[in-house]
Amino acid sequence: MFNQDCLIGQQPAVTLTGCLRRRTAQLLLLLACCFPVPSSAEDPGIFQLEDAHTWRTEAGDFLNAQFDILLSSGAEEAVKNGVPLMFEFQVQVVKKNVWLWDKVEIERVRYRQLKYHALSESYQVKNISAASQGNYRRLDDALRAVGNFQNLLLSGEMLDSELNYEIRLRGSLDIEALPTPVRLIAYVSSAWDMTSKWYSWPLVR
Amino acid sequence: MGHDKQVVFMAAGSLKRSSFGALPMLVLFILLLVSLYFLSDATDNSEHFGQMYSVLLIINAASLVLLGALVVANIFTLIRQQRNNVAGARMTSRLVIMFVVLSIVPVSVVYYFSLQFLHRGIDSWFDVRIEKGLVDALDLSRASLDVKLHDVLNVTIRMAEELSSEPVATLSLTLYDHRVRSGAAELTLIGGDGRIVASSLSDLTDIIPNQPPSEMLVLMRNRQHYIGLDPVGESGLYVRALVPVLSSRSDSEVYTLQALYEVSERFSELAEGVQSAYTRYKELSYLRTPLKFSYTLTLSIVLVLSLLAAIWAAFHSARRLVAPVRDMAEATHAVAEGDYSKRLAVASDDELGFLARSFNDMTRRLARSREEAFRGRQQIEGQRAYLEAVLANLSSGVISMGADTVLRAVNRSAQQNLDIDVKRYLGRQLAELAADHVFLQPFVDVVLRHRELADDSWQEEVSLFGKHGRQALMCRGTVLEATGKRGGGMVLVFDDVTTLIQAQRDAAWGEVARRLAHEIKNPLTPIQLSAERLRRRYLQSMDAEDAEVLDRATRTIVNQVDAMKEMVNAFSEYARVPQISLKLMDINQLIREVLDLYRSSDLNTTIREQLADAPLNVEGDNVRLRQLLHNLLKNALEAVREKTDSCVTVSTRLVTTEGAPQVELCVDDNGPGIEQNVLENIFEPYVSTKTKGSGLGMAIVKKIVEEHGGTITAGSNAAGGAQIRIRIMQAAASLESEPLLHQQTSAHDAGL
Repeated sequence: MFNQDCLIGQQPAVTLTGCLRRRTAQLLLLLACCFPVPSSAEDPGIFQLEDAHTWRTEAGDFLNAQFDILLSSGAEEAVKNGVPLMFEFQVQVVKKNVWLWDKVEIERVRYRQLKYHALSESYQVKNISAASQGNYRRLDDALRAVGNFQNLLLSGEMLDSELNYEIRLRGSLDIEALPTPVRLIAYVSSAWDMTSKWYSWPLVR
Repeated sequence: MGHDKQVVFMAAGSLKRSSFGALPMLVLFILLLVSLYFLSDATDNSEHFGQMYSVLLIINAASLVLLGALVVANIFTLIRQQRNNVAGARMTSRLVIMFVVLSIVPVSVVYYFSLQFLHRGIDSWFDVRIEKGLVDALDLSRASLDVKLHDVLNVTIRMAEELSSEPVATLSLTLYDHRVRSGAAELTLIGGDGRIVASSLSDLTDIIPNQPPSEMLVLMRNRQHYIGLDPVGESGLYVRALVPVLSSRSDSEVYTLQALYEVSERFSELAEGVQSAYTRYKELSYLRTPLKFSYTLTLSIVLVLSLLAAIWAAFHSARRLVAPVRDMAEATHAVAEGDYSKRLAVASDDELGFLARSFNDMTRRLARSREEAFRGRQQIEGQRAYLEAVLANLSSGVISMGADTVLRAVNRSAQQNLDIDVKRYLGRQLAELAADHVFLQPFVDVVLRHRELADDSWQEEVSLFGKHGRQALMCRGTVLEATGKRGGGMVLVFDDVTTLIQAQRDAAWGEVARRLAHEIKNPLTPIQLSAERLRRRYLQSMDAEDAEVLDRATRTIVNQVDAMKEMVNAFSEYARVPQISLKLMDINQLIREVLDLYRSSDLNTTIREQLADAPLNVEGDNVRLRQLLHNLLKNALEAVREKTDSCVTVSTRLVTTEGAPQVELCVDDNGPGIEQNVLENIFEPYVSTKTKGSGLGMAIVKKIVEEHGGTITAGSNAAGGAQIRIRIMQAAASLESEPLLHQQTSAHDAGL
């Protein structure tokens, strides 16, 4: 069972996408000083882990997680206007090392797409990895579906039972998947920076 | 010539380098253009470059920064060059400013109008009528679907009613029947806990039935109906109906019947078309402002990059244009500083090339002229060096002066003859020589006197009394002809003839003495003998009166002949080349010895002795100096013989002239003094105011003084009497042991 006390925010892992995003954001901040950027005061969104726990079966270690996602007003407006939003979830199994750096043993990345279907007036949540889809009348339900992970297989038999492992989990709105014009604004607007912190807890064997 | 080639080669090399520098920039510009094309394409949200937008943006921004840095570096370099007054910097600045202004204005105009067109173009995509049409189309689709949905819901409710009374064991079969009859694609009976109780699928490949979202199951728990259009996977549109199955048994579980109906392919296609068009339009409408911003940003990046590229190109072009002019300016500067080896590279056949060729011709001629001038100067220098060598090796001293008596040149012998560093006075007035070296005053006076008299060519002997004693210079002066701005100067040639004159004088006097002895003294003896014979033979035989006459006459003859003999002997003595033997002696001691002889006699004259306390050593001949003192004292005593309080003073002291110590001996009397007409020739033989004496006393004194290298002057003292002053060099042996009385002597004292 996931214990709230075990949630420890950590420094985000340095990835190429993240680095690129930061650099682009810095650059665009610079350019924003020179050009008028259409922006308004927006309600910031929420992206945090509500519940998570792992369990072990003969098939391996599994994860159930539920993120609490609340879109910022800009993102909500965008999705209601037909702009699809892509969410990225990273799960890492990290081998703890006392003397050296921790080593990421396993990394799973899952993508969920949220878009509005005008004809049926519903929100579609597409699980890119599993090629499955769900339709929801309400945005809240759709967002819960986006942040819901059930029976996510973390590892088979490859983990050494003698060693200590840690689970890290993070979710974010993938700005790079936004349409190019929105991406420019998303780079410089903090309201579009919907990224949860890294949540970590020890893997109970 | 080799140097010329090198210079030209270097100039061409620099030109080559500058042209090579443009190639990478050209490649960079082409890459930038490609990148900008990709960026603009990515802005359009294309599939190709949409994902690369960030990368492209960074690449372009980095290029922008790089180009900006390049331009800033160029600007700083140009400013520094301008501050350092580098040739061509100002011209480059002007050209760059001109190019930049020429490029900024049209580019800015194009930018402004492009933005206007862009914004209007984007705005023109959106029209209220189109939007309303799309909304209406969507509503129409929904309306037509609503009828179908209503029918489908009714059918599903009926099926649920029928299933409510069915036993559990036959539910699957009943579901199959209902699915076939109703034309549903899928019928599923779902339990209250969400489990699938029974299902029937038309697609046999599907094993698992489509499950409703959990939110719908919540609706079912409230025994509500649900009917809706659901896009299911990639299969297209489906109508989903959820109806609670109310069992007649009170204890039975409440099931939910889910029915999925396929929408006809045609209808599904049309509805999806309307949906996607509406969604796309809404998305575009929403993206209108960001799209404007991103296009504006892309266009601005293009503008800034173009401007920076234009500025860099302006720098490059301006430098290329200015390069020949700058080279020309540098070459001209080099020529102005005397470097005629500078050659310009003739890179073109235009006016600049013609100018470069003309410049090269000019510098070549200048170099040739300078070489010729250099050779001429070398020739003159050689001649001058030769002349200096000749002058340096001349035994005669040579001094050349300008018309203003400023010393221009002097040779080595001049320094040796005058025994001073004459070269130190080059560029200074001749009179300064005498100011610093008093003994040269006669020399300077003679030169200046002849200059005032404007003698073109003159010759005169000058006597100096320097630190080495008396010195006779034979000076010859010649006035130079005026050349150019310089007035006529004068060349002085002088020889030290001291030894020569002495030798000539000795020889002359010796000859005179020999002739006198031969011509006068020899006849005197026969005359005397003849007179004595006449006296012996005839004196006895004559009467007393005649005998007295004869006696007186012969006696007179004999006496006069004796006198003549004495005179001739004295003269011979005077003219005889002296065989002096110089010895170190104290002149004070000698004076005391001589004066003692005079004191012992019964003289009416007081002889005073004012001798220096310390011994005054000189190198002298004891006998000759004793004779000198006797002659001087005799003359002095005779001069004061008729005075009642007659007094003769003999004094000595040590004086310094030109750093050389000299012994001064003065004999003063209080007699009537020496008359002016006598004073001029007092040391010449047979010049005397006395009736008695040989007339050689003072001449012998002067001769003895000259034999000792000294000087003698005659004048009057404060009491009106005569004063004879003699100076002889002090003996070197006594220099260290005896204190000197340093006394600055006047020009008169120096022997004039």
